[in-house]
Amino acid sequence: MAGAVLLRRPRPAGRVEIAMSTLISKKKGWVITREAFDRMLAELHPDSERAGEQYEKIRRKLVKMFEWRGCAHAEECADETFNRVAQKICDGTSIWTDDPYSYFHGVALNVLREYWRSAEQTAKTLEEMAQIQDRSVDHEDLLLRETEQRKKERLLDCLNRCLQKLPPDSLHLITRYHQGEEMTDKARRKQLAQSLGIPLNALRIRAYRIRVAIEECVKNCLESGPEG
Amino acid sequence: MKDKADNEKLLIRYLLGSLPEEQQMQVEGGFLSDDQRFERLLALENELFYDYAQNKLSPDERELFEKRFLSSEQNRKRAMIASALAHKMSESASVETAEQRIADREPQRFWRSLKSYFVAQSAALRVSLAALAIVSLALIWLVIGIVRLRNEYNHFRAGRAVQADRLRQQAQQDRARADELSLKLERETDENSILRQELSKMRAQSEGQGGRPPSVISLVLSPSIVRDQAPGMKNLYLPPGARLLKLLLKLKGEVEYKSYQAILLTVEGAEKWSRDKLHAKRTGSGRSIELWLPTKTFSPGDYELRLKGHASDGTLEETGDYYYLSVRRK
Repeated sequence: MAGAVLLRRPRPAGRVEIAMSTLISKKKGWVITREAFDRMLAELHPDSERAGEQYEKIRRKLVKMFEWRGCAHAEECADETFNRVAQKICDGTSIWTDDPYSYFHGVALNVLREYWRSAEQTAKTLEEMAQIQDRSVDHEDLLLRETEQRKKERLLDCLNRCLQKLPPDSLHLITRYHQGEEMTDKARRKQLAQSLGIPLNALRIRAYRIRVAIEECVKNCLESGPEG
Repeated sequence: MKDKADNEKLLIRYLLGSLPEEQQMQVEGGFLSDDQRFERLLALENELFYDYAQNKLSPDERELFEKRFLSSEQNRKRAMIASALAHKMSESASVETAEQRIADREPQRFWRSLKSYFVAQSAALRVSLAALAIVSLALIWLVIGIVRLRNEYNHFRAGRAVQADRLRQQAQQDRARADELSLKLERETDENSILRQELSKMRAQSEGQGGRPPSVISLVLSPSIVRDQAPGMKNLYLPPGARLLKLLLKLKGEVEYKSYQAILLTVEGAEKWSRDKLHAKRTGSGRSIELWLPTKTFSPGDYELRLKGHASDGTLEETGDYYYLSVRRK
């Protein structure tokens, strides 16, 4: 019951930047060793390569889970989840039988609750600091806007380049998928899926993969500098 | 449980953080153990950025989205990219739609305008059509004339080419004949010079022997029809002073050869003498070949003279003419 009450506790809106080192790891006072990490991998799968793949997959899912729960330090929270699981294995606790995911999920939720508690304590202070800063940075705000404008121009340039690299079929599909005129999205996408001979969900995944490819291309272009 | 976890609206609410804790845990349990559900959720999350950029979210959803996603720098960048991309796609979609509409309407508009033009301008059109017809006929006549002239010219050129070929062939044949004749002349000149040398040698010998003239014996031989049976065998008595024997071989065969080969054989079949590249001469009594043989070739006995002809393709054929000679010394 106490756990349930804890789960329903209100959490802060959005994400609040806080120092993870003070939030989780040091609080527990336990540092993962190479041996502990290897033992955890061995529990995931007897074959080390497969175990590595499993680890990557679970980590990726946990990172997204923390993000979707509004955690600003999703990667660190996911790593802390693994640390705790490894610690339990070193302590001799039998952690799972059939489903490792549900065990990781349980540990991750505990990490998340602790994160929320710390975030609440620091949020007020940070908001106050932000308000004080806001009053004194008018000229900086102007500079920031100019920078934003340049960023936007650069972004459009990168986007044009990436769209040129995209196969025509993919561009056509993604354009039709997001074409927001005359019909509702659902009906139009259903029609598109029928014309391609695939289920609606498969169309959604296909469109998602194309968008991700474009986004990755744009990110790489932005990171490669003004000439890239 | 599965239906709930797969429900699109429920998943969107999870992403926006508006689901009760228990349902959130259910959704999480679903995607943690199922890769497909996880990818679907990733796709929905990604789509939310585009729906936000295209202003397709309700005001509540929009607020939740901003709180949930736009507080991080990384997601703000994602939203910017999504916004730029959505803008691009709507631009290209509207261009595409406009192009399609234009493409659909273009033929109709063209035909309609063409039709209305002809209706409105019918009087002028008739005059124009008449003029056009005259010009067209003149053009057709002109084209036909040009084509006919071109055909005639081609025919003439072909005729000339054939004639030129014939002349070229004839010139080649004449040249070959001239070559042959000059070769023949050369051979005969050589033969003459050999005989002349032999004669002068004999003359010198006869002078040394007391000034007696050289002795040349002539004999005309006609061919025998049957080989090895010589009813017409000629007897030849060679006097002691005779040095040369002139044989005139009458030719009987109908086939005329380019040149001939004469071979003198003993009755045993041994070859005693031969001469090649002999040419037949036409005389009043028919064709004949003249042979000059030194008499020392002959010892007393019977001889057969066999004649072969060189055909035009270069092969050596039996002429069918055989000559028989019985030599005695006085």
